Amino acid sequence: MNEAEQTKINKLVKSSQDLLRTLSVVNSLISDLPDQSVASVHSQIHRREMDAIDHPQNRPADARMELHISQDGMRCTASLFPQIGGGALLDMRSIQEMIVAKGITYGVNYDAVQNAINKCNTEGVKIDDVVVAQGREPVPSIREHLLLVERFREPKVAIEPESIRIDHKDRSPFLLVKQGELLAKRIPSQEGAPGWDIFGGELSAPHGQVPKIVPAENVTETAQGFVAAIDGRFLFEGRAFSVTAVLDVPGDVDYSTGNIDFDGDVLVGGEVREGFSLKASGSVFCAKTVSAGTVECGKNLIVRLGIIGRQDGNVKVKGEIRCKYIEHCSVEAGGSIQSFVGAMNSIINTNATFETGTRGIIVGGSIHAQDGVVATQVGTEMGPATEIYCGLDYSVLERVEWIRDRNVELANKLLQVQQTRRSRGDPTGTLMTLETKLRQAIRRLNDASMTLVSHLDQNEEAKVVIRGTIFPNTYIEICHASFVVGRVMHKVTFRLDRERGKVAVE
Amino acid sequence: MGKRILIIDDEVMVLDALSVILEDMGYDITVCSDPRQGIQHALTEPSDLILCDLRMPEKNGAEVTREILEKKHDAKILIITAFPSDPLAEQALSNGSIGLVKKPFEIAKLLKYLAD
Repeated sequence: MNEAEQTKINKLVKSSQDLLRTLSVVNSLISDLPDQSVASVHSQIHRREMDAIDHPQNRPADARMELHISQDGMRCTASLFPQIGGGALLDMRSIQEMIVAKGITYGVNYDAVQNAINKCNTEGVKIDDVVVAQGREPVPSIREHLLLVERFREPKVAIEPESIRIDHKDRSPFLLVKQGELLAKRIPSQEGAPGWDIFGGELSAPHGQVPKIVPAENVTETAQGFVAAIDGRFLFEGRAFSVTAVLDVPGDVDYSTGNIDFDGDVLVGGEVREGFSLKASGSVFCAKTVSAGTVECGKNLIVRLGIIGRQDGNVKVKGEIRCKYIEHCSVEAGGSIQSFVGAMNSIINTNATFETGTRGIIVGGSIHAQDGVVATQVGTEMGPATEIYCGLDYSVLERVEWIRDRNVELANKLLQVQQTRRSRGDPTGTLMTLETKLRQAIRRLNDASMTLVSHLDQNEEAKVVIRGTIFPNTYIEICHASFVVGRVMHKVTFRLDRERGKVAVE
Repeated sequence: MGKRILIIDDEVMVLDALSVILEDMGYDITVCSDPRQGIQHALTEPSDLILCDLRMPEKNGAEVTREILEKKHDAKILIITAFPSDPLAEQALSNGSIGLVKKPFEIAKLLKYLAD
């Protein structure tokens, strides 16, 4: 036998020994895998035998396992790498030693590890993300609290004119409730439980945070929970939930109803007719138009169609206004005003923003909007003058102007008295006394005026945003800085240039 | 001595009442109902603020603004107008007026400019 043949034989012996070693381990694995098909395992073994014979040049490498422990010590995962070229297989004992060596004592899933070892050894594939151990999160302790039933936990329905309905269904801007309807439940306190990390460290139970809500007006507690005491509208403001009374006027506010003054919300199925007034301490929803009437509400006003003044309309709202259009009307809101089609020849005041829809136009009249104006078009080619004032609290300005008017009256009276005294004399001193009194009154009003002006709330960030076109004959003022639109401009934003004290155009 | 205000306006009634109110606030008021006299006064006498009507028969506020600022660059001129979107108002602003005051007169704005 020559040397070459001897070498061949040695290789064959070596590979055979490797093969036998593999076989003996796999046989032991089969006994540990009762639910795996023996035939399947044999087939896999056969493949591996063939691989060992076909690629005897592969250097043997033992199978191995790497452990990955999460930073918070709550989870340990493993990656298993199969043996190569007849290297040693993974065995449970060495893996157990490895886990112990890492100090992992809690939540070890030996079954998962065993299954992964079996798969890696038999299929010869790398296995990742085997959960070796999992800690237990602590359960927070929660105090007794109230929880609103689901329909009242949903976010508010967006108020869009096309979505506004009067039928009290799901698209109504009001959440209407019936007397006795369940609003909230009392959830008992829950004791906390400690958790454990995979190293056996105890994690103390935290105090869980639950929002504190409280029942308010027209809510009563029953065995079932907190229920509506009256038919009305569900309100959630701040931390309190309540039910406010709702007056449902199915038709118009006209001679059939007379003027309305209601402590709560009012739903008008028709329109507010010319000459009639509607006052509500809550919100008002009008399904058609408000025509030349007086409307005052303590909260929001939603008008599905327009607010039409015919010079006499006067609308005062503490909250927000949503409507389709405003015409020839005096409108005042503490909150924002959205008029989707726009505003025509109206006097509009808001302490927030005035915004039109994507095709909305402002033509004529004046708008005071402390936080700014957004419109698609302002003015028309031959349209009336339009004035837009931003950045200042109109309610303070109104008071200052009221003082100004009274002061002008006083000043004119003072001038008359002075003139009379000079031309006719003042033997009894009556005119002199009157003059002194008038001067004192002017002084008092001036002091009041200066105090108001010094407290005038300013928003120097207020902007006038024109999505489309703005025409000449428009005046824009931001925090007293003036700008006269002298030419047609497109897609521009007007803002205050604080350093120069002028209106900048972008 | 208070701040000096020169008022150029041909509507005497408004001016008289305004003068009474501003004098009470401690301002030193000079009134000119003729814009030419107003320009002359503005150029020869010191003023902290000049209030000038926009629409006057002899000379409009934009012209008055231009003529004063040509010779006295640091003059502060506020235009008084009933119609702030008037193209003449734009002209006055381009000529260097610091702002517009809507008639009968916006006291809050006046006080703001006087404070500045």
